[in-house]
Amino acid sequence: MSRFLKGLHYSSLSLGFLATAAVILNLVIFSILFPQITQFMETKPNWETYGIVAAINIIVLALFQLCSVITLLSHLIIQKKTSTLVVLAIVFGILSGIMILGDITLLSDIGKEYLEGWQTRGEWMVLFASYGLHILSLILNLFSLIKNLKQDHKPTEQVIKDEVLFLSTHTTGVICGCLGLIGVLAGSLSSLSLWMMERLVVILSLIVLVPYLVTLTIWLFRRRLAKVSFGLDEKQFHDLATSSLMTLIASLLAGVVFFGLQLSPLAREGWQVLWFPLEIFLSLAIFSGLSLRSSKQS
Amino acid sequence: MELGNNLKKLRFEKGNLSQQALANAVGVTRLTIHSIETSKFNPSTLLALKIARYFDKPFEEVFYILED
Repeated sequence: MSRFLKGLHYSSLSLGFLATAAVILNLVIFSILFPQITQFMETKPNWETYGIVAAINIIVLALFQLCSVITLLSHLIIQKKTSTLVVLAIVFGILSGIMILGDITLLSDIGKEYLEGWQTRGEWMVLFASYGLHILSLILNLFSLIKNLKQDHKPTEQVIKDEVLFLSTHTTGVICGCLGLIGVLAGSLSSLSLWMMERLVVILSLIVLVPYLVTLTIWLFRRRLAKVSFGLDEKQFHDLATSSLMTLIASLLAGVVFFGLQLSPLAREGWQVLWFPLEIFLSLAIFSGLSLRSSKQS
Repeated sequence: MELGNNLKKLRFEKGNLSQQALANAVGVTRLTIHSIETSKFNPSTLLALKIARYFDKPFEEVFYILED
C-alpha cells in the first residue's frame, strides 16, 4: 500500500475514534436537552456550553465522514479491490455526511421554535433517527478501514483494464435503489399529511440518489483520466445490454401497474407523488442488480 | 452447440499464467476471461483471435465447438 494511502487510512481511523466519542457525547447532550426543551423549561447558562461542544462534535463527525469516504474511494481506485462492505460504508458515509447538514438545520429550527414557544418533538425524533444513521455509518466505515488496513500487505497484480468501479457502481445502485424503495414505501404507509409526504419523498429521493451519482461520476471521470482503462469491455457491454432489456420490460410493467393503481379506488392519498420515485428506484435496483448478477455469474 | 476452450490448459502451459495477466494482454477485465474460460460468455471473433494469437496457437487449438 502506498505511503499516501496508509497515511489516509491512519488519519481516518484516528478521526473515526474521535468521531465515535463525539457522537456519543452529542447523544448525551441531546438526551439532557430533549426533556428540558420539549417541556419549555427556563433557559440555563450551561446550554451555551452544550451548544459549542455539540458544534465541535458535528465538525469532527463531518471531517471523519469526508476523510473516510475519500480513503475508501482511493483504496478502491488504487488497490483495485472492492467488497459489498466497502461500498455500503461509502454509501452510508455519503448519506451520513448529507444528514449532518440536516442536523445543523434541525438544531437551528429547534432553537428558534423553542424561543417562539412551539413544540419540537418531531424535530427531535428526526434528529435521533439521523444519529442512528451516523452510528451505522461509523460502524461500517471503521470496520471497512480496519479490514482494508489488514488486507493491504499483499502485493497486487498489475491491472490494465479494471472492473472494480463497474462492480462498485452497480453495488451502489442496488443499495441506493433498495434504500429508496424502503424510504418511499415507509413514507406511503406513514400518516403524514400530503404536503409533508410530498416534501419528504422529494428530499429523501434526492439524498438517496447522491451516493449513486457520486460513484457514477467517479467511474465516468476515471474512464477518461486514468492510465488504467475503466472503459467497458465486450462482456460488460453484453451484461449491460441484457440488464437494460430486462429493466425496460420490468419498468414498463411497473408503469402499467402504477398507472392502474392511480386510477383505482385503492390508491392512497399521495400516490400521485409516490409512483414516480418508486418507478425510478425500482428501475435502478433492477438494472444494477441484474448487471451485477450477470457480471459475477461466471 | 456451445463454444468450448482450452484456456485453462494453455494458461497452465504458459507458466501458470494468471487470468489477470491474460486479461491485461488482450485488453479485457479478469472477469471476462473467467467467464470465457467457464463457457459462460462467448467472446467476439476479434477477442477470440487475440487470445489465440497471444498463445501463438491456431484458433481451433484454443476454441472448439462442443456438440450437444
